[in-house]
Amino acid sequence: MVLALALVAAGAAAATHGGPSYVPSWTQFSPYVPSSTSPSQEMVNIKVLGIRATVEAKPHVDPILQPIVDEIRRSKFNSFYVVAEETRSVATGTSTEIPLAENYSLRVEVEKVTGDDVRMNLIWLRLEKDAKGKVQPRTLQRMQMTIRKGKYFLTGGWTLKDGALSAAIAAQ
Amino acid sequence: MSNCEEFRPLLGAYADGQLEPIEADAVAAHVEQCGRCRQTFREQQRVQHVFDAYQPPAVSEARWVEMAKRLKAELEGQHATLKTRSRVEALEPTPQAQPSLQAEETRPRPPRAAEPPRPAPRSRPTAAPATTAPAVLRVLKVRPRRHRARFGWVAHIAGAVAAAVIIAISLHSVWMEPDASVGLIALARPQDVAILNIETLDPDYNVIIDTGDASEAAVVWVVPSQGEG
Repeated sequence: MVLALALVAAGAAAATHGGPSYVPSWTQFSPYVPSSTSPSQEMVNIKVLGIRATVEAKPHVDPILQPIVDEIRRSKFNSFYVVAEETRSVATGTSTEIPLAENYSLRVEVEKVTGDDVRMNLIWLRLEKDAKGKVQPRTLQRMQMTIRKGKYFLTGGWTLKDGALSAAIAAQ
Repeated sequence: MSNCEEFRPLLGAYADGQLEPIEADAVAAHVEQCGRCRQTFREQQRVQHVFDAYQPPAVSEARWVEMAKRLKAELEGQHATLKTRSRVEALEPTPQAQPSLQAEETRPRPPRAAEPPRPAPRSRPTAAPATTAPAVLRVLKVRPRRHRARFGWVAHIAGAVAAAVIIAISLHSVWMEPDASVGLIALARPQDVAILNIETLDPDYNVIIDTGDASEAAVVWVVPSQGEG
């Protein structure tokens, strides 16, 4: 039993730290698929927390969200859960796509790094069926920004079945 | 016959000259009449004569001093092992030995006279005189050995439990702790973020850009156009 738990833990750790993880199938058609890095590229660790907000009779906030609870409570929701937690190493000029909840995912494109500042694009995507009935990712929002390393940028509010989806993104 | 039963217990004291005159006269009259009691009385007299004739050998003062030194040295040399001490105590149940042994005890004990009588030990037939043997055998530290054994088991169990708890806590901290790389979330403040461009392609949502006017953090929210959220 201990061995089984150890294997499960090792698998979870590998998935959390950039090991084998779920990659949406549509990324093979995307122009932002991560590519091999050249010597001039700089690696940046992108950290993303997917946050599901709901209204419940008994309010709940995941412990990891306690530091930002005052900010995310500025809505009708009273309960907040971490539904995704990813840390990925991304080279400048490339991107990574992180599935969050239901059909939503967030693509992060790292453009360049200047000192402590990282310029990147955040692209919210949602899987939808097109006119032909084929499931395709649909871009909901594109945001170009510069953020200081180590600081989490809070964004989102997309509708879920039982709440709303947002994300906290940081570059290191 | 009945007279014999009355006088026979008095024959020894009569032979020793310990009876009162009235009793001695009565015993003498009976001995003259009763042949069996007279024979017993004569045997008692012979034994008494032997005791009276015995003269213990004279012991010089130097011999007593030498014996005292040997006894003291032997007693003082027995502090190391309880087994040896008990042997000395059993072999030399002298009044001089008892106080020194009591002084060695680490805790006060009630007087021995107050203790209830104990049965003589069965497993030590070679023990010394019956008057001191029970106490000596009880000091053989049989009970302390039991205590050591019992506390040894307790210590083993306590150690195993402590080790299990430590392992469980360690495993829990390793497996169940949230990703330590995330750490505490420090939200980006307006001076940490520059929004260069926003394009919302879903017409069902409106965009709210808060760069510090409504909160200390720079955030970008979307809200459904129907007014939800």
